[in-house]
Amino acid sequence: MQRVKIYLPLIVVFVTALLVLVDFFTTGLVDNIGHVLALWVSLIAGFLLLLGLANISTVHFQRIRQGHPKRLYSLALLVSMVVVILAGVIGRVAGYQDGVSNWIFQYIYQPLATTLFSLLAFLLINAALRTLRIGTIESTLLVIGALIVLLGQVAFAPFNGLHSISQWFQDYPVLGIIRGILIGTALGAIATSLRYLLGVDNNYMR
Amino acid sequence: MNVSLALGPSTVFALIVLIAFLIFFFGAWSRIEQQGHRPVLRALRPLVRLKSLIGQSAETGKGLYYSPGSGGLNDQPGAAETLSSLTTLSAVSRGAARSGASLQVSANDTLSYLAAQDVVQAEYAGAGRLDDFDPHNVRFVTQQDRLAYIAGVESSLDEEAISGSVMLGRFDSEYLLAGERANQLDIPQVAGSSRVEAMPLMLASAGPESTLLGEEIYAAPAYLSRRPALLASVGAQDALRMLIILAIILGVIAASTGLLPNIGDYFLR
Repeated sequence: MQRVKIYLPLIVVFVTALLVLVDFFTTGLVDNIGHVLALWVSLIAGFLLLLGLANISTVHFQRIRQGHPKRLYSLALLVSMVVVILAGVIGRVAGYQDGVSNWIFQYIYQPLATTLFSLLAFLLINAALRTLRIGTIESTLLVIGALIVLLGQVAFAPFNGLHSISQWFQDYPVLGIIRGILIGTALGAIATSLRYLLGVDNNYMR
Repeated sequence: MNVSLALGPSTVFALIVLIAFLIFFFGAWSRIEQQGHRPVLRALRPLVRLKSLIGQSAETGKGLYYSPGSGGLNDQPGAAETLSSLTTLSAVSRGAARSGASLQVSANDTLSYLAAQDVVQAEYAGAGRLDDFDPHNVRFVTQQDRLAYIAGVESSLDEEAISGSVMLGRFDSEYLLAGERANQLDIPQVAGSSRVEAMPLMLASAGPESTLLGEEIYAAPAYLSRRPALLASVGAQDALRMLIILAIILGVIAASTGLLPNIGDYFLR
């Protein structure tokens, strides 16, 4: 039984990977199998979402029961979760389709997300100032480079001269470095994927 | 049934890379296993710091926070990064289980949440400390929603007793929200991503000593676990990189001299 538990997932992973590779490199043999398998993954992930919901509910119910100092946030999370799920289900049943969920998304979630994202500008300045205070050569070059590129984009006459320097930065050193990083990253991604497909990285089922 | 090979410029290049990697990988693996010829790895300071964070967590009794990225296993462009981060998590949880450190993990999709839970549980079981494994320490936070996930990470750093934070995987600019929160709370951190959107922010927030850049996050598991197969994989990556550099140089010469004017198609598509 223990062997089945170890080898069955390995065989499934290997056969699935083989089918996707054959689909990629041939025509007429197993056409579109990759697409079908990706749909299956989405379907399985949909069911697994229930496990995720169970985990969130358990963690936050526990916090409320144990009188955690931030239990009100947990309560808000659980209430929001139930409201959004009910809005989706009732909206469908009542014939509004996704109108109610979309309203929640557009008028509640979206402004919150945008507000959170806009904080990045202030945090970035804070991080840049701290980096300058540390004063290592690399960090100072990073901030100076960022400033030149940033000011080069500004449509303000005194900074016009920086535009060509900024463009040169982006076209040559930055592009070259990004391509180098991308090649290394792609090789890393290939290595990691193949290790999993060959069953070498099987730490998820020991 | 009419079966044929779909060999265009991009598929030929992919096939060459795939076959070359497999040859280098099995070659390096057998050399390590049979002759004990382990590749020499250059020192990566963020990983030394990561090991010290595990030790600090055990000493202080506070938790070590681990995030496998705001991507997920069902998120195609970031799946490989998340897989690599889960392998790193395996080594980190082994260290945590052996030293008695407590580990908290969060995930941004259900697949990585379940995989992370299995990985941590397997390592605690392997260290003979299954009783110390609390499944609630591995948390599902959001389903592929980067901003909401980072807000959840921030909240955990804020509310829990955390001695160190490790954020390795697919992050974009949203990383800065969690990174700066860790700084405000004086929580030492190790960060890493292969996304160019996140790397400069990580350097600014976590510092160059604590940031794994680009491919380094894929090499981290080999550095931490020293398993022959993972070391062989790093060796194969390096050999393949040399091959690609050679191909680029020869390609530039061939295209510039007009010998193979369309050679660029094999690299660009």
